[in-house]
Amino acid sequence: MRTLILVTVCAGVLALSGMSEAAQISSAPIFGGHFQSRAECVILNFGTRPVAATVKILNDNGQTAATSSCDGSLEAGEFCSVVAAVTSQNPLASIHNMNSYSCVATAPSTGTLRGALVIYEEVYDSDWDIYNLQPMRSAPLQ
Amino acid sequence: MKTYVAGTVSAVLLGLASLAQAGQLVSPPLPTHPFRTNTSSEGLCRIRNTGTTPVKVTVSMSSNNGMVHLFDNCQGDGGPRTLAAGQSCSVMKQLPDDSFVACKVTAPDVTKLRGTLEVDHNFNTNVAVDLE
Repeated sequence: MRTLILVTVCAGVLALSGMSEAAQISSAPIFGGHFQSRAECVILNFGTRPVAATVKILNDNGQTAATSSCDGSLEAGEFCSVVAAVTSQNPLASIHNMNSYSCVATAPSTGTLRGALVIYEEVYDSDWDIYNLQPMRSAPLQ
Repeated sequence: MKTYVAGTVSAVLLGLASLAQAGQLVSPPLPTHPFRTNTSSEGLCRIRNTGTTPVKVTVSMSSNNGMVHLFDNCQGDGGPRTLAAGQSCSVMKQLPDDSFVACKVTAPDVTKLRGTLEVDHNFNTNVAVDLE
């Protein structure tokens, strides 16, 4: 009986630990609009130990538009970002004005990671005669 | 003996479960891309106590570059402020260019706290995320 109780306890503890340490956090797919021109995904390690993390921006077909390994390790308190922007040179690595995008961060443990995907458009500033990046939408990684 | 073991087990499990919920809420980080013209970029973190009992909160914002303090009423007398039931507080900082910002609140019990981080341009909110 004691063995059974101990096994049950261990299973319960392991289950609770596992629930808070999934290997992946992901955003919902978001579409900024037909003028979207840039997607940026940022993650933060708010823990006290380094985490080896990878961040990817994916299109509707699950293809990778941009990826980063965060220089191999994301130190405590450190941020890491990856950007996909409109480009004609590499369409797969470009964001398209008819596609939605999502972001995925993978790590051995994501319990101390937070992340967000932001989509931008370029807005014309007539006063200065230039285009500026302005956020259109964002989604958290969960 | 069995009752004692079962009681200990329950206490351990409940303790672990509460550890996973209490302590801190952290926002997803947001990029700080300012307009290239003469506009400012601000980060604003708002915290609300939705519970019925007071909660002492410590609110901080972090970035990979320096921020300029603008406003903070989450502190009282130089220390963490106690938010009464239903009360809110906020911290605002001017953000660095081409950087990142995040917000964190720590408290003995965060289950009744809610928070949001906003990135503004010229004090108009462009994008916001909830603390989790």
